[in-house]
Amino acid sequence: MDCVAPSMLRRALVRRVLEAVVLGLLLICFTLWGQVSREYDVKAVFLLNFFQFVQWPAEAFPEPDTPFVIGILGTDPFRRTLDKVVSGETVQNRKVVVRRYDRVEQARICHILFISTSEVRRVSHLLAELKGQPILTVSELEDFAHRGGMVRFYVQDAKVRLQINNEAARAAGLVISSKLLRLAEVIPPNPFE
Amino acid sequence: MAHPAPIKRRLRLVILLASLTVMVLTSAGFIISELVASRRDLEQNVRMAAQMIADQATSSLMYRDEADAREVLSSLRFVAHIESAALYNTNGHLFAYYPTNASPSRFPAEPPAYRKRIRGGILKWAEPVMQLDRRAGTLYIESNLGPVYERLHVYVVIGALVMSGSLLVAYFLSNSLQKGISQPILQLAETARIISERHDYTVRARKLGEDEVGLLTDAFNHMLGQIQDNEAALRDSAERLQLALQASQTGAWDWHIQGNRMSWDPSMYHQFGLRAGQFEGSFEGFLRAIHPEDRPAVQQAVQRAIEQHQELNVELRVIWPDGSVHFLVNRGKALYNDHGQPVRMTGVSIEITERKRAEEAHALVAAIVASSEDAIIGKDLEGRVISWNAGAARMFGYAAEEILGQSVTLLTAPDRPHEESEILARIRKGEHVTHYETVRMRKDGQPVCVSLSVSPIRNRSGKVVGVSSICRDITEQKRAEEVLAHQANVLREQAQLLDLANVLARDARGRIILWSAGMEQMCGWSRAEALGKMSHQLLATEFPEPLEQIMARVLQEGQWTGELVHRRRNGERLIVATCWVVHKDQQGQIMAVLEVSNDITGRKQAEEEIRRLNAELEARVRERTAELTEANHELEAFTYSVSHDLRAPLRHIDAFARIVEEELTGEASPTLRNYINRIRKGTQTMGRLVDDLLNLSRVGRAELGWQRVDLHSLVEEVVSDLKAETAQRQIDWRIGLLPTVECDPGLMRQVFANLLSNAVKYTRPRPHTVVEVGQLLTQDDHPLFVRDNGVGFNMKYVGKLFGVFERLHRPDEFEGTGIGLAIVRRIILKHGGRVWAEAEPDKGATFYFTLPPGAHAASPTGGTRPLPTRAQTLPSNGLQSL
Repeated sequence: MDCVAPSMLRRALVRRVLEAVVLGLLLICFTLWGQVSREYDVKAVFLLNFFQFVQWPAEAFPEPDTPFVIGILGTDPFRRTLDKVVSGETVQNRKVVVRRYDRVEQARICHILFISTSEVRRVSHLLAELKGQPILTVSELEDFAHRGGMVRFYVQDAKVRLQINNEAARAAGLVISSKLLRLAEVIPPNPFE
Repeated sequence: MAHPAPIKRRLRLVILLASLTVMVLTSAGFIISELVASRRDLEQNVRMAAQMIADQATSSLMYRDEADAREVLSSLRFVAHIESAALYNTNGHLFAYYPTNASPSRFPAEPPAYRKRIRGGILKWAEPVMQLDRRAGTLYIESNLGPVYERLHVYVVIGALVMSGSLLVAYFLSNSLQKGISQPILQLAETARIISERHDYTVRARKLGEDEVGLLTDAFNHMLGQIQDNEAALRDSAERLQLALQASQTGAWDWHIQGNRMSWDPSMYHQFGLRAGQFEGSFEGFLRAIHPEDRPAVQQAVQRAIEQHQELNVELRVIWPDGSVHFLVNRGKALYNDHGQPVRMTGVSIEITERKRAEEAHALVAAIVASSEDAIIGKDLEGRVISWNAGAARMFGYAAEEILGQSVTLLTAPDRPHEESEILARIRKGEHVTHYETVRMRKDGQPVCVSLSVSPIRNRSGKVVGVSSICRDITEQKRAEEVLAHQANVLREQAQLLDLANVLARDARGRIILWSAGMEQMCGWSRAEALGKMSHQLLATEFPEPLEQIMARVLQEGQWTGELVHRRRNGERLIVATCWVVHKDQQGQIMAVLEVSNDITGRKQAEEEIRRLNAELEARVRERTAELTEANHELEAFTYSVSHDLRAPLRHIDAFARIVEEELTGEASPTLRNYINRIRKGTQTMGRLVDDLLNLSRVGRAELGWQRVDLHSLVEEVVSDLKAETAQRQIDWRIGLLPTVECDPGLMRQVFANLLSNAVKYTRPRPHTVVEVGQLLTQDDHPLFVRDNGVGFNMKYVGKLFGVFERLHRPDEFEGTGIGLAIVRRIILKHGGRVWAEAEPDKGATFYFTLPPGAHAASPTGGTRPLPTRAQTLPSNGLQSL
């Protein structure tokens, strides 16, 4: 008895400690995930709002009932948030749909293309591929707008902000409302072009 | 004509009222229509502004940019009358508002459901914010309707001016228009008034036309003719009666009892001291003309005479307007009708004042003589006593009946046998003897000291027929005089002493009765000038409290001390500290107030000067502080905006440099890579600099969020962060016992982060680094400190240490922006503490800072924290495990 009791006691103690550690880790994970998911809630709504502030050329809508398409290239960071935000929404009497692509070639028929951070290595290639097409390219990648992407989300002072390369958008035939440009950090245009 | 006749006024009023009504209605209509129009204009303005702002605010709401929303709202400052505005997002939460210094609670908690509402002079407007077909939120605007009401006010004023002008014109017009109607009537009324006032029936009304008023004038004039004839006959008979009465100075009156009319003839007026018209013509008026004390008696006598069918015979007094009292006797008789009721009473009044006066004067003299304490003795020329008053009886012991007829030599002192006959001889010659002091004998043989005044009594023709002699007993007085002479000597000596001090005395009425030489010197008035003057008028004294209160205190406590302000003779202000002492007589009445004063003008002026200089200094300090605060705020705002705007281009430079670096493949020369690298290093350094500047400026602008903070765990957190960065270095962290304090935890963390990273940075050349954190309980304000064994610095430069961009080392020795310590200083100052440093080159540095006494909510030894007792500084090996 004398020998068994301490060892059992110790085991119980170890289990307690383990439980506590696991619980703590779970808690930290949930908090972080909560923050991240809230950030993507905001980004999803921002994506949908682009339809209000960006004008696409007429050829982007071949049919009168062509829906607005938001494409996601690469790993989807929104999970189901974007579908929830978009479900049932109509913009200018067109439905809004979300499509997910693995390759850029599939993404020809969308209006907004969100390029996931998973595509970091291919980004120069992707932008070259999409050049001149009426697709609003959006990403969170660093230097995205400087490299010729149109809109970059970044977080500053705990707020989601926009960097916009208006030159790239204009080259693709997209007109971004001055009301939106006013809020964003606009990449200075190339004086030699 | 003195007063406008009512008919004239009424005609004018009718005309004016008619014009006023028309004008008021017209102006009211005009003003109301203007009000409606201008309100509509304002509403239009607000709607336009609301729609423009709502259109601009869509993106700010949809992309959640409050700063931009505020900016958009702030353009409302160009729209007059808009006082405040707010944006709500689609969830109905307040998103941004204008003006930025408004309290959020002034706005509705949720966007209002109405479009427009007017409450209490405020127009409230709610505009939906729409981007294309999407609702982005609601814009809410409050606009002041004040200008509309201001314009209304102007209209009302103009309307009133126009109206009063028109009324003035109407007044003059009506004046000339109403004349045709009112003139004849007024003429008639004026004639009637003249007749009733002057009883002159020779006046006739002038006929101004052949209308109804003309007829009335004729009839009136005819009536006047008849009255004139009757009156002439009546006057003749009355005049005759009057003459008779006047001759006998008798007044006659006639009272119609039933109608209560009483008429007087002119002699009555004369006797009662009244002028014609001052008597009301009734019995009550008659009573009122009588001395108030006699009224009841007269009323009773009249009543009795009427009731008992007796003749009235009553004496009464009247007071003339000049205040003199006159005695009258009134006789009268009542007349009765067939039923035995009194209908009339007539009577006469005769003045008997002189007789009454004579009687009264006689009685008075007799009373005076009888009541006199002095002996008043009448003698004939032979010296026989013919009159002996009670005073004489008391003084000499003889009763009147004992001595009347006896010779006055009974009273003569044996040692002066001829004195009386000598006096008599002088009197016979018509001389007076006054204040003749001598001795007389009482009946009981005792001598009496007397002062004699003897004078002749003359008959009507001026012949001396007797002697009056007044004797005053001065036995007591003689004795008192000796005592007084002694006291006077003593007083004179005291007064001489007193004279040197600043002393004044004033009697109960405030007149100066004593004025010392000291006062002459202090105030400038000589004794002759000051005596008899009212002291507070002469000195134009200003009292610290009302004089009545001071006097009440003097009476209660016997004295009063205080400060007074006088004026010298040359008009200068004189401030004195004074002590008042009161002298009372035996009845407790004030006889005199003695004031002893000291000149404190110089002292007061000096005090005043000091006070003035202090106030000036304070004002100047306040002014400078306000200027400095203002300048600081401007500087901070400038720094903030500059730093903020610098960040964006830096990011662009860094981003493009990074892209270039990536694009450079193997063929690029190492030199090129090096250049790119240096560009990026430079932009990063500058970015840090900008961040630090922003930080510094934020610290300046931030409000402190006070909390209870355990500094010990705070420092441990900071140290564990630093440990991760300095894993390859050997650092001995020695953390002492730190208190729990009230402070802003975020800012305090920054203080320790900056100080500790400084310590780590400047100890880099040391093979073995020691960084120490603790609190000095030996000093009064218990400073906290961070100490290192690093390179230190020269104390010569300690003044520069906490300045912005001030660095004591070259950047290639130790990297840094030179802002960290400035931030530390600003945070500590904001907490109300102070910060300083001590060091020596190559011997390490110590940074100290204090928090205000209130911040030490719990001292480390206070036991409020469940901590084991620890040494002030723990041994190094115990700290390695932290």
